[in-house]
Amino acid sequence: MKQFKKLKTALLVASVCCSAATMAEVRFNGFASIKAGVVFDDATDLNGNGAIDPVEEAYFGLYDKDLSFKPESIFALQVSSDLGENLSVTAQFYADGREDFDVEARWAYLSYEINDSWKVNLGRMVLPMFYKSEFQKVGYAFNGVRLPTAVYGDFDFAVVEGVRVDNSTELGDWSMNSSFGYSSWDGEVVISSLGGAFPAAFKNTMSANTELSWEWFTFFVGGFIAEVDFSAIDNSALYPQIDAAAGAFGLNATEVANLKDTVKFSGDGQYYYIGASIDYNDWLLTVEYADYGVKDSGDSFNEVYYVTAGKRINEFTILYTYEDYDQPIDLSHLDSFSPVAKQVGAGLMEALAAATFKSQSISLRYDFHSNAALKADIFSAEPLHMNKSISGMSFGIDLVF
Amino acid sequence: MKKLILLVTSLLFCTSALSNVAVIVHPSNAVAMDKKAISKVFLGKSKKFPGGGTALPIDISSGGVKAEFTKKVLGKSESQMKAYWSKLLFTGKGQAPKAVDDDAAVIDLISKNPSLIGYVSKDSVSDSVKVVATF
Amino acid sequence: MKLTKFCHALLLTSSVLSFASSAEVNFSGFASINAGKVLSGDGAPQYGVPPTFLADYPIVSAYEEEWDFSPESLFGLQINANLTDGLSATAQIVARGANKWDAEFEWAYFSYELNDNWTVQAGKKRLPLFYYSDFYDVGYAYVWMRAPADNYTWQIFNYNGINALYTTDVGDWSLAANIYTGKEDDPENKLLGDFFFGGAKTQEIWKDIIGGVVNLNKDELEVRLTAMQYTNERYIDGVRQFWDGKDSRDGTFYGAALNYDTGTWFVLTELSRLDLDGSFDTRMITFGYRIDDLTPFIAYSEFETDGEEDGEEHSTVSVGLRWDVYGSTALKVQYDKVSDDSFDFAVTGDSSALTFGIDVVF
Repeated sequence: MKQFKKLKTALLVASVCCSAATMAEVRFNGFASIKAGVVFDDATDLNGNGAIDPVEEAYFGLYDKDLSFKPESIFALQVSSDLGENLSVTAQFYADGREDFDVEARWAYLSYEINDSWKVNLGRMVLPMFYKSEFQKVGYAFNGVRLPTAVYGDFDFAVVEGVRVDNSTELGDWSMNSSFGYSSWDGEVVISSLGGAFPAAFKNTMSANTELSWEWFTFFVGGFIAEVDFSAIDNSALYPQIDAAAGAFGLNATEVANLKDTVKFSGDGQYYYIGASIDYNDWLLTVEYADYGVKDSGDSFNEVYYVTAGKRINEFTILYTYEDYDQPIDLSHLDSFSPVAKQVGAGLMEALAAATFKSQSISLRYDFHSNAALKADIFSAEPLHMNKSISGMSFGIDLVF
Repeated sequence: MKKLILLVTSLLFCTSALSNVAVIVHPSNAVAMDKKAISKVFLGKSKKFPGGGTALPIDISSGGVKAEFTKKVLGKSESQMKAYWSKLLFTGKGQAPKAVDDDAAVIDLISKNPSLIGYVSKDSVSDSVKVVATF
Repeated sequence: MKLTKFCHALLLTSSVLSFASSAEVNFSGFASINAGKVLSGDGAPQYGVPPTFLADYPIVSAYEEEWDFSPESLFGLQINANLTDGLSATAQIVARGANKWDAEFEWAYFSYELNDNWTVQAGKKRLPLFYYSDFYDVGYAYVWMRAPADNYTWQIFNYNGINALYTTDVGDWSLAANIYTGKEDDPENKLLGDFFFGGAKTQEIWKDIIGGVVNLNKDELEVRLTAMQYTNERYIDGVRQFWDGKDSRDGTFYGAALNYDTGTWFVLTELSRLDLDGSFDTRMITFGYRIDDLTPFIAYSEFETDGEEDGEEHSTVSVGLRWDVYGSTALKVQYDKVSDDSFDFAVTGDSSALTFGIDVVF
C-alpha cells in the first residue's frame, strides 16, 4: 500500500491542488546583467573577406556604432530543491539578448552527493570547455565586463547532456577540485566563413578538469575529447569545392578522395586549456592558454590565450587584459600529396581559417552594493597581420540574488 | 623560551585587544581550530572538523560582524565572497552556508547541534556555546 | 517562451501576493533525466527515417542508435497561488530536451471553488483525453518510463478554455466528473510538421472542443469514461487544407480506462477511439507487481486504423522495472519492442529500445 500512497502523492503534485505540506522547500537564486556598448569605428568587414570573422564578431557582432543594450543583457533564475538523502534537483532558466530573450533551461540536472568528496550530476549542464566556461554568463562572478573573447566565445555546443562527477580533495594546505564528464550534444553550428548554420553533433565527449589552489595561488588545467560530426559541413560545403577543383585542376579520383579525407571538418575533437591565477594582497594576475580543434582536419588548431592583471582598491577593481586569438595553418598532413592537390588543399584550408586577432582592454568594477557591481571598459582589437584597429567601450551592471 | 612566551603573550594581547569576532561551536565539541581550518570550512573546501566530525557552517545574513569575519578570517570582502559563491552555485558545485539573521539565532542553533560552527560578536557569547577562536 | 512572458508569470504571482496579502504561493516541481538508445531497428527507409524509437508522439521524443539524454528529459516548475475565497492561480512551466530546453507554459489557469462539489477553472490546461493526460509530464506519477506511446499519440494535448469539475460520493463510490470546452491553435505542430509532413510548418487547430470525463473509484477499482468532440482545421506552409472539399472536419473521441490495484499487484487498461474520416483505435494493458520498493511490470499497447488495408498500425511490448529509491525519487528501466505494420503509414518502422531514467517530484 505504501507505493500506492506515493503514487497518489505524485498525482497531487500534478493535479489541481498542490498541498505545500508534503513538498520540499524550493530555493530561488539568480543573476542578471544589463549592459550596453558601442564601437567607435564603422568597419564591419575589416579584412574584406566578405564574412564576419571572430575579430569582427567579438566586437561588431556584439556592438556597432549605435549604443545597444541588447547583446550582453542577461536574466537567469535558478530553482533548486533538496529531495533528501543527498539528492537534489536544479534548473537554471536563462534568457539573453542575443537569443532575443527566449527562456531556456540552460542547466537542468539531478545531483547526488556520494560523500564529502564525491558528487554526481546528471542531466543538462554547461560543458567545461575552458577554465571559466561554466560561469561565463554570471557576470558578477568575474571582474571584467565580459570574459576575454579570444578564449570565451559563444560556442554553439557549449551546453550538453550527460554526467559530470565532481571531486574535492584536500592535500595538506592545497585544495583540489576536479570534475570528470561524459556527454553528448547535437544541434546546429554557425560557420561564418561558410555562410550558414549546419546540423552537427559532438558524441562521446569525455572531459577532465582540475583546479589546484593554495591560499593566493591557483593552477588549473583541463580539456575534453569528442567525436565531432560535422558531416553536413563536409558534404554540403567542403566536398563540392574539392569536386569543382578536381575538374579544374585535373585531379584523379585517389587524390580527390585523399583530399576530402584530409580537409573534412569531422574527426577527433581535442580541446585543452591550462593556466594559473594569483590573488595576492589585492593584486590580481591570471593567464590562460587554450589549444583546440579537430585532429587531422581542414580546420587547423586554434591557439588562444589571455593575460589579465589588476588591482583591487577597496570597492574598486581595475583590470588590464591582453588577449590573442591565433590559428596557425598547419599544412603538414598535405605533405604526401602531389603539388597540385596540395595547392588545392592549402587554398581551401586558408580560405576556411578563422581571421585571428589580438585585443587589449582596461576595465573597472565598482562593488557599490552587496549584490551588484557596476562595470565599464574600453577595448581595442586588431586583426593579426593588419594595421587597423577597432575600439569601443561598454558598461553595465551585474547582479546576483 | 622566554622570548617565545613573550611573543605569544604579546600576540594574544594584540589580537584580543582588537578582536570582536568569536568563532563558536557546541560546548561538547573539543575541536581546536586555527584561522586556516575555520576558513576552509566557511569556504566549503572542507566539510569536516580537524578531528573528523561533520562541520556545518552557519553564516549571518548581514551586518558588522559578518564584514569583520569575512575580512579577518576569510581574507575577502563581502562582494568577493558573493562572487566566489556565485561561481559555485550557478555551476552545480556548491552552496553558500545557510545564513541566519543575528547572533542570537546563531547561538541558539549551535547550542543545539554539535555539528555546527558559527561566528558572533564577542559580546554576544553565552555559556551555551564554546569559543574556539577570536579575531 | 519569451522573457517577458516568463516575467509576467512571476509578476502575476507576486502581484497576486500584494493584492491579497493573505495569499499563499507554493512552488513545486518535477524532473526526469532519462537516457536511451535503439538496440535494433528498421527505420522507415521509404521516408528517410533511420532506425528510431518514437517514445512520445506529440512531443516527438525520438531515440536513435546513439545514447541520448535529450528526448525525454525535462524539468517542470509549478507555481500555485491561493487567493482568497477558494480562488487560486496555477502556472506550470516546463522545459524539455526534446524542445531544445525552451521553457514553455504548459498550464496557466485560475480555479474557483464554488462549493464543496463544484470547481470552475479557466485558462490553459491539459486536454484530458486519456487517464494519464493530466500528469503526462510527471514521470514519477506512473510505473512506466512513459505513458504507452501507441495510445498517447494525438498531436494536440492542451486547450484553452473552461472546465467545470464536480466531485461527490455516491454510496461507497467516489465520483469525479468534469465537462470542458475550449480551443487549441498550435501554430507550429511538432508531430505533424516534423514527422508526418516532412518539415513543413503545420498549423493545427482544434476548435469547438466539448468534452466530459467521469471518474469512479471504489477500493481497488477505478473506472474512467470520457468523450470529446472537436472541429479540425489545418494549414500546411500557410495553405489551408481541405478534406472532401471542406475546409474543416469533425472528430469525436471516446475513451475508457479500468484499473484494478490491490496494493500488491495491479492491472491498468485503457481503450480509445477517434472517429475522424475513419476510425483509429488504441488499446493498452499493463500488469505490475510490487515487491517492497521494486515494481516490475509488463505492458502491451497498440494503435490500429479501422478497415484500411494499409492504415497506420503499430504496437509495443514493454517490460520494465520501477524502483522507489526513496520518498520522491524513482529509478526506472524499460525495454520496448515496437512493431510498425504499415508501409504507407509507417511511423518509424520496427525497433527495440532500452531506456532508463530518474524521476523526481519536489
